[in-house]
Amino acid sequence: MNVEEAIMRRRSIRHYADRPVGRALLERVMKAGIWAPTGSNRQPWVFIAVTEPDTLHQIRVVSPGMLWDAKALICVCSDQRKAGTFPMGPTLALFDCGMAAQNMMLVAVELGLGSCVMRSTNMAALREILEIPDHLQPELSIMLGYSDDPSPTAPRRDEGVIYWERFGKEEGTRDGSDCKRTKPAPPFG
Amino acid sequence: MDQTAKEQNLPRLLDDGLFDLIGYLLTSARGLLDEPVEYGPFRLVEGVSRLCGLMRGSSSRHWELLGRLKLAIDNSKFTMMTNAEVFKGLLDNAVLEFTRSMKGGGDTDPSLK
Repeated sequence: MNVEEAIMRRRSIRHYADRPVGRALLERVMKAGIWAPTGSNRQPWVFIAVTEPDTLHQIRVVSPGMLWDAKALICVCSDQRKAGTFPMGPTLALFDCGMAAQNMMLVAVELGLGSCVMRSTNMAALREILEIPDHLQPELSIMLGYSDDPSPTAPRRDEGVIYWERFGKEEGTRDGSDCKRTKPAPPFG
Repeated sequence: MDQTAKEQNLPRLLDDGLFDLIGYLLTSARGLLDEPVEYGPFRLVEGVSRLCGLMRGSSSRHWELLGRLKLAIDNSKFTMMTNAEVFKGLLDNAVLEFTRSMKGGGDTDPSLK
């Protein structure tokens, strides 16, 4: 599978088959996170993999965004001790964690795993359950498992997204069908 | 623990399920202060689905209605993110079905009455 195929195949899988996810696969997923781009090469992240069913269930209880128990979960934390030494540091760390999460989810696709990124968790409760120290900030969690979710991919908007050379001049992609001239962009405000 | 609940000796599955539901509702309430407004109806209807599941598992006399409600909710709840009109229709229909059932004295499985 090439990267583009993985990107197109990935979608948010929320319901998982009753089949555990092996540690070796989770290691490959997290290794992909380590190789994400990172501002100023700070690598301001920590990944906590959870596979114990009781712990996963406790996380679900305090996570309104987790509708079913996952078979595994990776909590992506920013490490404020590595990130916070310059004003933009915490913001960059947030982007870095997002890019690491996307890397992980794409490799998950290649490994045949479904995933869903989740922010709707009570972070204080998550911190308590996973015994996360103060210098780490849980930013998001990636639920993982073998897909048992038949729901279709959510549609994507392409209108008003891609422009060429200057905003509003030429819109769309150049593969023919959706390349078109647009009206002048409305004024701001 | 409240003495009444102790005496009634809630079945373990229901007790655990309700305990989990408290966690869901509490963390939803806190989370919704920071989340998109559309998440509010979604969290509520998800809570209804979970409650229907718990009551069905505990042989509620409203078993049949609860099953229909849960199925309808679970089949369409994600339209909240893709089609607001369908989501609204789901809620309208669910409210109507619930009200008709209530008005008729409860749509119940005769064997559980």
